[in-house]
Amino acid sequence: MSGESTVRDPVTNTAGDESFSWTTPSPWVRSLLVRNLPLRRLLPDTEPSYVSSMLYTMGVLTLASMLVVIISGVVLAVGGVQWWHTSTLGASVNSVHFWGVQAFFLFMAVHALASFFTMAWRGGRGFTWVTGVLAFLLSVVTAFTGFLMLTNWDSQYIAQQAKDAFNAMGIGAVWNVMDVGQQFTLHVVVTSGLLGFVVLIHLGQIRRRGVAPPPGAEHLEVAEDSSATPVSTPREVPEALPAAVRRPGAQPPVPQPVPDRGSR
Amino acid sequence: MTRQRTHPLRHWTGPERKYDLIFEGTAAVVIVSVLVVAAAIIFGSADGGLSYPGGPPAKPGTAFTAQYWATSPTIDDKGKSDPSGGAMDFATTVVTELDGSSATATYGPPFNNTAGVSQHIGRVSLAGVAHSVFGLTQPINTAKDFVLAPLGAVVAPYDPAVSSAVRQYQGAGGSVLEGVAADKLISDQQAGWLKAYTAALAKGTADNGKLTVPPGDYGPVPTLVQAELSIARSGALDGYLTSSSGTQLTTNPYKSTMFFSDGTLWSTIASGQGLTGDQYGVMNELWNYPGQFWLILYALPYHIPAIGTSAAADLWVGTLIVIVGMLLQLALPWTPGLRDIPRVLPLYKIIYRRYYRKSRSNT
Repeated sequence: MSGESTVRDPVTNTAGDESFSWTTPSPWVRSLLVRNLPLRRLLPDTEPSYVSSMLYTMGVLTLASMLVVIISGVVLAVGGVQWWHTSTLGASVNSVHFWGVQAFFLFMAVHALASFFTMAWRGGRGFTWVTGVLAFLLSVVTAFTGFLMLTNWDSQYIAQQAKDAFNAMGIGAVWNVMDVGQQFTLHVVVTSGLLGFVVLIHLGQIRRRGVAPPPGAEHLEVAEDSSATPVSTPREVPEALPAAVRRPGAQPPVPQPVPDRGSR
Repeated sequence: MTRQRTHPLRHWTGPERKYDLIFEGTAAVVIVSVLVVAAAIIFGSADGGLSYPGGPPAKPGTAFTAQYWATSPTIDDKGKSDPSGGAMDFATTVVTELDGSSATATYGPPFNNTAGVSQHIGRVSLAGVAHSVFGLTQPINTAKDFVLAPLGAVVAPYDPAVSSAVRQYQGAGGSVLEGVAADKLISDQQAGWLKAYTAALAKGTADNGKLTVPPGDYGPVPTLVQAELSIARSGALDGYLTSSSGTQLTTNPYKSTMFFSDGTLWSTIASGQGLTGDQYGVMNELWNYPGQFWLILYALPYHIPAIGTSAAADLWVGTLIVIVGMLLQLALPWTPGLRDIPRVLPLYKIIYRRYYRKSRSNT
C-alpha cells in the first residue's frame, strides 16, 4: 500500500500502485483500472495517422454488427423459440438477426486477415491477438448453437450430422447437439455471455495498447517510461503535486491535462 | 514500488489525426443497421423445410416427422416415383430398430453400449474416455424406444391384437434395458422372425399404408410393424416421440432425430438440398441463403481423401481443428514461421502505403 506522502488522483483516489488485499481489494482494482485503462486511452481525441484505412474500420463494424445481432436476438428470445415461424414480425426480426450474423462474420474475417497481415501482435500485443482468436472461436460456437435451435428440418439435420464430431471428440456425452433446450440455453446465455466478456477484454486490450505501428515505424512508439517503468507512471496518474498542496488541509489541485496520446 | 515490465505501455510519437471513438462507433452502428435492415427487407431469410426431387410440397419451416416419412413417395435411380416408397422405407427401418442393425442401435456411446464402434486413432478413443467418465448420457434402446413403447402407449390400450403382439414379442426375450448393446436387443427367436420378415418385406408392398408380404413365420412382427406404420401415418407416433419424454414436455428430441435419420428418406432430402458432407453441406445450409460459411475450415479436411475415407474421419477432423484451428491460431504470435508469413507476403506495404509514402516524402 502506498504511504501517506503518495500522490493520489483526486478523482479515483488511487496512486496507481496499491497492493492487493483480500479484505479491501477495491483500491487495488481501482488502481489496476486507472493504470491500465486511463480514460484518455478509452476515449482519445487523436489516433495515429496510419490508422486512416478502411481496414481499420472492420473492428468497429464487427462490433456494430454484434450490437445489431444482440438486439434482434433479445427480441427473438423474448418472442420464443418458435415465434419466428408463425409471426411476420418474428420472421422480419429473424431476417435482421440472420443478416446481422452474416455481416458480423464478414467484417470479423476481414478484421482478422488485416490483423494477421499487419502483424498486429507486435509490441506486446500478443494477448490482444489471443483474445481476438478466442472471440472468433466463441462466435463460431454461438452461431452454431443458433443454427441448432431453428426447430425446423435445417436444425434437425445439422444436429444429427454434428453429433458425430461431438461424440468422436468425447464432448457429445455432455453436449447433446440434438437437445434443442440445451442449445437455446447455451446460445442465449452461455456462449453469448462468454463472447461478450471476451470481446470486452479484447476492446480493453486494444484501447490499452493501441494498434501496432507499421513495420519499420516501431521506433516512433516509445514506452511511457522507458527505464524501469513504475506501476504508477507519471503519465498514468496525475502529475506530481507541488509540495505546497500536500500539506494537511490543502485543497487538491485540478489535475493537469495529460497530453492525448490515445491510439487504437 | 516499481516493477520492470516486458512490454510497458507505449504511446505513438509519430503523426496523428483527430479522432473520436464515440462518433466512429455511432456511425458504424448506423451504417451496419441500415445495411442489415436493407438486406433483411430485400432478401428476407430462409425458414428451411422439407423438399427433395419428386417429393411432396411442404410448408417452409417444417421439421422431419414420422408422418411425413411414412406418407411420402420416393424416387428410384431411373426417376420413377413410388408413392409407397416412404412407407416401405419406414417399415424397413422399424425392422432394423427391432433387430439391432440400424445405425442408431450400432452407434455405441453415448447412445448404447455396443462395443468397439467408437471412433479411435490408434488406441485412443475420446468417446470411450467420455463413456468411462460420464456413462451413457443419452441412452436409447431402439426396439423399446422407437417401436415397443409407442405401440404399448398409443395403440395397445385400444387394440387387443397389438397388445397381444407386443406381449408376445417381449415374452420371446431380448433386452428392454436403456442403452443395451445391439447384440442384446433380440433373442434367437426374435432374430428368426425378424430375419424372415426382412426378406419378406423386400418382396412386399405398402399400398395406402397396408403392408403385404408373402406368407411366412414372422411371429408378432407383422402386427407390430403394421401398427407402427399406421400410427406414423396418422401422426400419433410424432405426438409420442416429439411431445413427451417420460412425464415431462420435452425440449430434447434426440430419440426421434436418431430414429428418423436411420431411414433413407432422411439422407434423400439432405442430398436433394445440398446438405451432405460431400456437398460442403455444413456451410451450405439454409437453401439458397448463405449458411455458416465460416465453417469452411471445418468442412475442408473431410475432403482430404486420407481423412474423408477414414473410419475415424470425425476424430481426425476434430483433432485437426483443435490443433490447427485453435491452438496454432492462439499461439501464432509466438510461432516462428507462421508469424513471419506477413513479412514474406508483405501485404502490409499496401495497407500502409499512404503512411510510407508520406514518411518518405518527409525525409
